[in-house]
Amino acid sequence: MIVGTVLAVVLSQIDHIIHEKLAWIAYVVCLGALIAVSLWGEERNNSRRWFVLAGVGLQPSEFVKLSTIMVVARFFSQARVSERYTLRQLWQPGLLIGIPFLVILKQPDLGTALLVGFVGVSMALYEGLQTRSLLLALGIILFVIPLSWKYVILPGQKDRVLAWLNPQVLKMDKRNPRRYDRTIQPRMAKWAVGSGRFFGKGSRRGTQTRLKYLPEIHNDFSLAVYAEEHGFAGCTLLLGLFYILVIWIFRVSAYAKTKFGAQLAFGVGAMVFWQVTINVGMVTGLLPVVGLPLPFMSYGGSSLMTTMVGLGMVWNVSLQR
Amino acid sequence: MISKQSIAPRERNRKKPAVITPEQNERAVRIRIVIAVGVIALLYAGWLSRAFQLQILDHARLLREAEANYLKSIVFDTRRGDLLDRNGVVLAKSISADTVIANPRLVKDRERTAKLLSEMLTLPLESLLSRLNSRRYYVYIKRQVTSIEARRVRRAKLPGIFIKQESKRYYPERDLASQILGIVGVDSKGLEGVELEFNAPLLGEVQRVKVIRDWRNKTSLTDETVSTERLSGRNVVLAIDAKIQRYVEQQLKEAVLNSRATSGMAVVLDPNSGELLAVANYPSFNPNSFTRFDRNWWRNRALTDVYEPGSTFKILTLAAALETKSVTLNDIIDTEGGRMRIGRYVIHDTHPSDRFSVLDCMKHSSNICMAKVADRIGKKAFFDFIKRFGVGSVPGTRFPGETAGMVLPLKKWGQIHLANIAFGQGIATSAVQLAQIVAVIANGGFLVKPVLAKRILDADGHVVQRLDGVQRKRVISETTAALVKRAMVAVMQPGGTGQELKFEYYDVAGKTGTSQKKNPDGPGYSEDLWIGSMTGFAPVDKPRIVVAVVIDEPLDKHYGSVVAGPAFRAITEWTLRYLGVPPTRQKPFSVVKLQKPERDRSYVPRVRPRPRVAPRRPLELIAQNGPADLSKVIVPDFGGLSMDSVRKLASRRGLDIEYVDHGFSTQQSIAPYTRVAKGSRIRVVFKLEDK
Repeated sequence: MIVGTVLAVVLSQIDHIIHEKLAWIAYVVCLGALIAVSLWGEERNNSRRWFVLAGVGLQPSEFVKLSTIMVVARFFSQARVSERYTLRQLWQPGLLIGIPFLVILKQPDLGTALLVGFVGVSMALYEGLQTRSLLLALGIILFVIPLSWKYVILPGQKDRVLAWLNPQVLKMDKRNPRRYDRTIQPRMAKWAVGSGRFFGKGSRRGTQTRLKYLPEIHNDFSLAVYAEEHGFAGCTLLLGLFYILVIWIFRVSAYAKTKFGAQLAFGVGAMVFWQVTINVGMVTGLLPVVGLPLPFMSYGGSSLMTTMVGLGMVWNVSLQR
Repeated sequence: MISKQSIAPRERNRKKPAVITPEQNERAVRIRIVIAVGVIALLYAGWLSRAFQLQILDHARLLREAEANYLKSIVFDTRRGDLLDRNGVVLAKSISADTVIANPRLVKDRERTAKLLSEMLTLPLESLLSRLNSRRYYVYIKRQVTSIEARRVRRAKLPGIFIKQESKRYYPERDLASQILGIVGVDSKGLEGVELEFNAPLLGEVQRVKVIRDWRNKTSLTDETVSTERLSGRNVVLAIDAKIQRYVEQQLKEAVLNSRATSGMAVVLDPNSGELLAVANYPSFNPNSFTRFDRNWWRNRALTDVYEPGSTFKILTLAAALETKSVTLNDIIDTEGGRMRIGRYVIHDTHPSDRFSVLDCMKHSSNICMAKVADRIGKKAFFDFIKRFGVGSVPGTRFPGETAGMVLPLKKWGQIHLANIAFGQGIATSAVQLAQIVAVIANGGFLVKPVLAKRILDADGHVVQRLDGVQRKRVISETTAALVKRAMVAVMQPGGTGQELKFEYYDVAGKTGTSQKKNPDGPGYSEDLWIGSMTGFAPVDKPRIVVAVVIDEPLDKHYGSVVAGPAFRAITEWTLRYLGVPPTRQKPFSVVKLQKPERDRSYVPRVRPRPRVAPRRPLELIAQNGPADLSKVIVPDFGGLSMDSVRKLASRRGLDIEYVDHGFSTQQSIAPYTRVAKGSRIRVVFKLEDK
């Protein structure tokens, strides 16, 4: 938290022109770390995502998000295209996004991979796409989804999606009892949220989560804890703050002095937006469970640091109007 | 195709100026902001409505589901409440007892364990082995073991064998009032008597407490508090007075043994409140080890069994006759010389005579006379009176198995039935019902509901429920009651059937009864099976107690006054003096000890006297004229005691005992309570109880 804040403050004072220049270095370093961690990283919950440095787990995929935003922003700022883009013109950012996307997907970390994808697409959309290209892209995505369901998505991830589609079915594989019941988590999250009522049970009084029923409470489901303890009123406030933050970032982006600044800010804003949106959808049972942390709320230094660094840069953009 | 189309716009774009004008930029920015804010606002609204749905609309259902998942209700074991006598003497309480259990899956060497356990707990080896070989995780080895047995098992430290605390019912007064109290099964469930009737309040409310269960199934208490007060069952206060009960039981036992009868019943009833001060049955049993006694002894026969009351029933007949004004006490009835034929039956009188006044009929207990009196009342009216006196309906003590008595339906009444019922044959009541009938005369005409249990208290002694409100209804006029009372007083006067009973302190009204029992082998009545009974009340002017004593199948003498009379007299006089009723007869005696002397607080007794419920020594001794002779001692009642107890009791008094046979004492050569010189030799015969 402190490291993140310091970094944010420091970065806010550095001209984002420098960030632009450093974008490639950051991207290469982070991507290298990401590939390294996928090969030799610490294995937790059946996926390789972590480096352990001096007792602190580092998650390169988080930093990759940011560095990808940076390079993509740099690409758009230096592109000579002044009107809407076609898909062909986007092969470069597509590659820049595609590489980390695939590497993260292989970790496997579907949530973060999708987030990188969403952020990239958002940035492209922000820049503007040809209508025809847009439709084509949509077609490709629709074509890819069933294929990936068959070849890319892992059984555990499939279970989550199935559990989301049929929340009432308690799936227990008898032949493989160690296979985790994917309906438990969203079901308990729903109970936790539902227990909150209007004002919640009060801080630290959430039964559902404090009794450790809800697995991963400190991670991706921290919102469930919050919702149970602070109720509907708390949720309204928290979500409101998140979206106000996002709107502020978008505003910064809109009034940015440079193209890079605008793209960078928008990328960070999109990142926060998608993370919040997917996380809320997942906790309330409207979206399948994909592991995505909630900014500021979830446990995880890397995630927090990434958010803070991103905001630091946005801050700088806002200062340089 | 695709490439061509996609390249085209770019070329077109290139022709246009590449610089974005500020106005254009401004507009684009504004649109983007609007779009972004719109999208965000939509999502915000969407998410919030979802949150609203979950947290407000579905709150109840989700909370219920969530609680079902993490809350578990557990039932606390409550301590079964106590049974107390009217003065708070504990008659039954629950104590914790050790129970040996086993987890057969943890037992290492089954053969050896079974062998050791069978030695330590005196259990058959085979059943132990089969239990230890079972595939369960929890089997009982022996429930409620003694502390010695438990210690042995603990010391042996056998793997898989454990000792658990269980609640056990304990009756500190042993066989006192055992048939009233009843019995409790090993699972703390009342099976007989008051224990059964008040099982629910005694057990208390089931304490369901919600506990939080975490994901490892560990539980912890919630904020919901468990009041320790509610963890204990209710206490039930009986109307019984333990001291009176003890004395009545002793006297009854003596009466049964003296007349060599099979069994006996005795009831002491307060005619004004209806409270049952004592209900005794002999033989009795010790509820601490009830399984060792015959099941028939568990029954509170004075409430659950009927007998033919015989002449004591004439009280009711006379009351009915006087109330209907069919006769007066001075009417002369022809008693036909002691023999009267009704159809093919002949009625006899014990005291044959040609004629009797109605008063004398009672005094001499003439059957013929009563048959004629009943004839004057008429079947219908007499039947109605019997019903009004409560025969045929349960007295209402709530005692389990309480009998209503037996009355022949009116339409089956023949002439002989009317005659028979007039003197108490061919009709059946319980001993308590008889006392109820007598109480009508004693209290001036009210049928009063007998009360066995007075109150239900919570653990702190607050009254939860009162059960003792006097419920009575008038069945005869006060005048009639007074007339019957006169006749009952006459019974006890010279010439009456109760004349031999010399009452020392109180004027008593009474009635003897000698009824024939049904022939067990065939029709009609047996020639040598009798029931001798005696009932009455005292003092005559302001009756405080009704006493009924019933002796079943006395061996040689069977007259009520002989077999039941002495016990009746002892119980009546002792109880009245115990209750502090001033004597109505002028026999000089020093009243010194009957009233508690003002206690000198500076005085500290050297030896703390052992608290005793019933005085082993009758009060006569204390109230005797002149100083007691110190060289003489009272012979204790050794009845039913073990040899060791007899030895202790005798050595304390300096008596020499000659032991005959072994087991529990059944006979003693010198009667209890007689005064003998110190060092006298007494023969005590012991016998092993079968079963």
